[in-house]
Amino acid sequence: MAERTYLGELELMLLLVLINLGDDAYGVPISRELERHRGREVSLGSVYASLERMEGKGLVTSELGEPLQERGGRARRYFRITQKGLQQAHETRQVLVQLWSEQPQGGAA
Amino acid sequence: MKLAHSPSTPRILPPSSPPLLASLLFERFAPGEMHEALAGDLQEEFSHGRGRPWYWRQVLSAIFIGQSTQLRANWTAFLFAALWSAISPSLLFFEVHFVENENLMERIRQLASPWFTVCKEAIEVSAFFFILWIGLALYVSLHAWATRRGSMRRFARALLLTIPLFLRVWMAVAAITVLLAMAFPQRIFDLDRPRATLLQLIIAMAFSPATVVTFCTMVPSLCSSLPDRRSRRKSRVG
Repeated sequence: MAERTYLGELELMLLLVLINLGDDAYGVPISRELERHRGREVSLGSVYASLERMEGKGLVTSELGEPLQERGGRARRYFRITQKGLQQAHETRQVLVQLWSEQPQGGAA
Repeated sequence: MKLAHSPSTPRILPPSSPPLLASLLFERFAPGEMHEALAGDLQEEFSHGRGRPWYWRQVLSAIFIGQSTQLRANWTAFLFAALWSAISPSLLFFEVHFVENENLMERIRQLASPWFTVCKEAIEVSAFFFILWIGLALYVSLHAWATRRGSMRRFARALLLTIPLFLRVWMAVAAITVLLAMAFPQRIFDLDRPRATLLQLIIAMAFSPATVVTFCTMVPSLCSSLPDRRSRRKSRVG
């Protein structure tokens, strides 16, 4: 039987943010989106560590943009969700929805 | 009533450059494949009005996350470096005794003033390099045997890397040791070995200058001798 892995909380959030941001998904807007939804400060280091790990799993791809003056001559790294990432996001959503629907009425409060 | 901004009133602008110390710490201690992009993001956010406390928090968190990720990815290198560093003082002891027995030291003592010091230091430094390179060769051989993958080019690069790393660590540890010896002359170096407890001996050995120098030089050298994480992942998937 093939091993099946599901996404963690941050990984799922990151994939959804990448879908929302489209072509403009690099560190700053990604962390701002996460901050807006979670309501607390997000560490850019943890965002990059997760994205790096997800790139290793083939869930996202990344490419460097042009170096910019306002970034001290450093380039932005743009991230994009892959087909595999999209599929895993849907699978994780299905499992979560199913689990929530099976909760007793009192537990859903 | 809307107040116009008078030219005489000083306008408070956000600081244009992030804290220098935080940036230096980030450059030096935050590892990772996306280091450059992360540094650029921090700079961009800071220039858009994030404060210095925010910058410091982000830098410290990036260093902690980066180091712990590296530790998890290269735990065998850390473990080997710790073990090899623990036995390095005894290896140094044997090396120095070998030099003494071969009457080499006697001949060196007969040299003129500057050459005596140069030769003595050169022997000590070469002893360190001997230990570092033997350890590196042993680790690379074991790793290649265990994973069936090895690269002579990476090994050669790691060997060369030990030279600048060792010199920097050696100087830093020497400076700290001198400062500590000046601050606590009795407490650090006058350990009464026959009467010392086991814990005191372990602490003395673990924090001896030789152990610290060997460990701090070995960890990055061992890590650089390993294949890239990206290529390791690809080979695992393939």
